Amino acid sequence: MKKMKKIKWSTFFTHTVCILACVIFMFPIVLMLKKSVAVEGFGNYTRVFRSFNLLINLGNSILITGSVLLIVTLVLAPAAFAFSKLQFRGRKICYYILLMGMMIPSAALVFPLFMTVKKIGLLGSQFSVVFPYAILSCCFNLMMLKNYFDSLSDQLLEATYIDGGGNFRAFLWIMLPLAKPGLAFVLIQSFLTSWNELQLAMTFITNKEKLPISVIPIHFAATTGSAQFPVQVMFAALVICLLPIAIFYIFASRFMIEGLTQGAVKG
Amino acid sequence: MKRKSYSGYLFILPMMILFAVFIVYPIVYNIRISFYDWNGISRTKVFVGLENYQTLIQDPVVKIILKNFLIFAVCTILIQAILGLFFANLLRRKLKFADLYRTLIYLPIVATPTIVGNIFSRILESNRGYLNEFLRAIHLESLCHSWLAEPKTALVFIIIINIWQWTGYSMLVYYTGMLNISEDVYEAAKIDGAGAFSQFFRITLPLLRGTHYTIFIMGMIGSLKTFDIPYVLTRGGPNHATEFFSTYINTQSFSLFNQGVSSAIVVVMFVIAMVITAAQLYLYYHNDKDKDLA
Repeated sequence: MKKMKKIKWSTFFTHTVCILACVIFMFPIVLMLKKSVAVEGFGNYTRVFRSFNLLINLGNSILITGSVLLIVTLVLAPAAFAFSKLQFRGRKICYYILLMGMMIPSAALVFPLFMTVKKIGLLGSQFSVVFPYAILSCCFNLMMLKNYFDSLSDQLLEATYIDGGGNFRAFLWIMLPLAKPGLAFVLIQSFLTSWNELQLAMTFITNKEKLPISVIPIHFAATTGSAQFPVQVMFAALVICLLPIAIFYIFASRFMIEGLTQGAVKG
Repeated sequence: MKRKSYSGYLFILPMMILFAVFIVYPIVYNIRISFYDWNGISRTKVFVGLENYQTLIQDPVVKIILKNFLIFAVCTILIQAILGLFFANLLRRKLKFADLYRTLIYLPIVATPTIVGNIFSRILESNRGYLNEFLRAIHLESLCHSWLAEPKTALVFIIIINIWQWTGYSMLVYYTGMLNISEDVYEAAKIDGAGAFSQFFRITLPLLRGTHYTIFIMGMIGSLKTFDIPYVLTRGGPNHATEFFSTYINTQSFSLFNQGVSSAIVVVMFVIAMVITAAQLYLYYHNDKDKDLA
């Protein structure tokens, strides 16, 4: 009896602490939601749509992240497979050089890439940021996906070789289908970082019509408080900007957290 | 066994090409430009040797950047690690709603930094900011500050916002690390009469050594990359009080047009990143000799 009671108290304490923490972590988001319906209620939201064409920006974001995910899949999956399952000279060196990409801040890339993008005539286009995002995501997730391939048995490969198949067949038809959960996790991570990136996007794309939706809020600060754009309308606009990624998170969160905890990041 | 083949090169070729064009080339470009006097626009650049680096040594802002980087790194890494450990340890046990708590604590990471920045700038604004309005409402006017206009409080809040945003990450990484500790170890400790505290300090903490490294390295790299929140909230001000490597590079390149100096800062930042990476590899593999380098 006594022990039962003790356990209950500690559980109660844990829940209290966790709820308190969640309140603190959610506070700015809840504040934003509350302020977004101040003064005119949901009328704020219709005012946002009258003064901004956020759907175009949403479309840009989808176009950019969609292209990034396509490139990440095409480029990262074969590389991670090769580093995990194939033997070739210089494998370790190449792997470690690519991993160093994780450590490179985008501030170190922004000006040279700005010149490159300008030279090839992509400056201002949504596609200017696609390749930089893709390679940064590839570097950041290489270790995870390689470790995922490591966890798959080598025997499956040998079975393919015995059947007379080569590395391409083994990769495409045996290993890639098995690595789907690891790849999905990596794509979710790439989606989030590409969606929220600021520095490259705001430097390469200046036309508001072509900006991704995550960059739009930096233009709010200057105009907020004016008659056409009062604070509550800005908050409504922020809610709209956050909505797509929040919905994505609701669907992806379970998968993300499981991916992280089930050893996608071992090592 | 794995068989030797040349097709391995084909598999890694696309990534190597993208890496060469979009990572290696920009870094080499910056190293080269750091020896020139150039505004980034005109056709001619003048070779000046190490002059840009001399400018950096004399630039008081560079000292502020280094100081801010260290303060920011120490504060965020330590506090996030302690909070992350705390929550991970709470949520490690079987608990109703543990998934929900984890999801909510992790949520700020997903929130777009420009949006977070806008919300906090409304909270911290001097005249009609919610924090000051709240302080006035409870008659503590004397505590009101221009939070983002005063150098010290501006930096403190940049740090607080970062902790708010990234604690969930530390929590999840520690939680993952804890899952790898066998339950048997705790059972044995319990039999020996170890309480919750000594279990945590004698078992959990030391066995998470690898995770501490990960948290430390990711925190250092994150601190080096910091851009979004200071850019949106303060643009590096007031008077460079919240200036970081990334924001200063941005200013030098695109506002002051000192591309040579800007590139020199990039090189310094790059060297710091490489030192951190080397330290990471050393820590990681020196202590565990049985670990293979792949």
